[in-house]
Amino acid sequence: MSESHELAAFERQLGELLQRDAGAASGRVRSRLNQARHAALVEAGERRGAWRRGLPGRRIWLPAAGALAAVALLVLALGPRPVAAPPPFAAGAGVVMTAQDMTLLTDRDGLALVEDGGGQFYEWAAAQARGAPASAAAADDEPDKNGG
Amino acid sequence: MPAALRGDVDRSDSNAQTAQHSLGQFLASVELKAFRIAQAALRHEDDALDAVQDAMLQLARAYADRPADQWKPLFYRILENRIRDLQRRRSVRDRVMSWLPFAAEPDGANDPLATAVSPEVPVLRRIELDETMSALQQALTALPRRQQQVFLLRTLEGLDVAQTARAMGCSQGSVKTHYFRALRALRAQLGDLR
Repeated sequence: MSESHELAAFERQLGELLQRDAGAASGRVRSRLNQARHAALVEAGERRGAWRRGLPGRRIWLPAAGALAAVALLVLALGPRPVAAPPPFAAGAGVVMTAQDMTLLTDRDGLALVEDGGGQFYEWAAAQARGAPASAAAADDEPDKNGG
Repeated sequence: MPAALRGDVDRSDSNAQTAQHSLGQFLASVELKAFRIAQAALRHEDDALDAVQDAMLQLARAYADRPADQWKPLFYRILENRIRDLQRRRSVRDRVMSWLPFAAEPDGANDPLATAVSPEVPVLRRIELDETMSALQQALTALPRRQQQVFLLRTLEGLDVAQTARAMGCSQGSVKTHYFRALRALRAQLGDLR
């Protein structure tokens, strides 16, 4: 007989022996296992019962939860909105504002110069830089500007 | 209560009773084998009973609603985990007890029920069975734990390779290897059984 056949026969013998032995437990063991089984069945029964008892409760709680969610949505929709943060300062496409620009913009003297006809002065200065004669009005005004 | 709703409740009651009955039958079918498997691993009757009881409760608590064909691997997986927990706890307890000047009397040592044998087996056959079983138990005890558990789940409980792998939390290849090694080791130790 090959080893595999011998092992198979041995396996069968062991199986029968173990089965017989399992059936020959003492009274104490059988009693304890019986109690354990009943405790497990009670546990399973209670869990099923609790789930079924929970059904009417769910019928009440589900609409209540729905109503609560609706109120929460309403409060979110109609309640005070958070103050929006001011948009980031944009000086124009492709232009980057620097701290120096901000200083110029907030400088009162510079603003007064513009308001007091400083525009003419700038036009004259630009014409001088191009080497062209300034406009008549600008030329008339120039000594005044230089003179103060 | 409306008739339709009452009908649903009646059907639900009937289903619950059927499920309860199935679970009871399943537990009754595995309890003695599970006890033997736990006893082989723990080598202590009360610990083995505790392990089986915990596994039953856990199955009822968490998996009673699963299909009945899934119960067996699940139950033995729970039992396996419980056995491992108890072994860890016992190793800690033994370490602590080794420092104490007295040894605790095992529970139920003088309990007549503990020594009573099942009336289902004739006395002479019982003696013969006891001798062979004693040799088998010694050989089983000498096996590495994984081999022992795989061997018992396959031979005693009759789980197939896939179910055993699920119960042990290992691969099917591992189950086959453990089983073959266990069988060869037992054969080497026991020779031919009567």
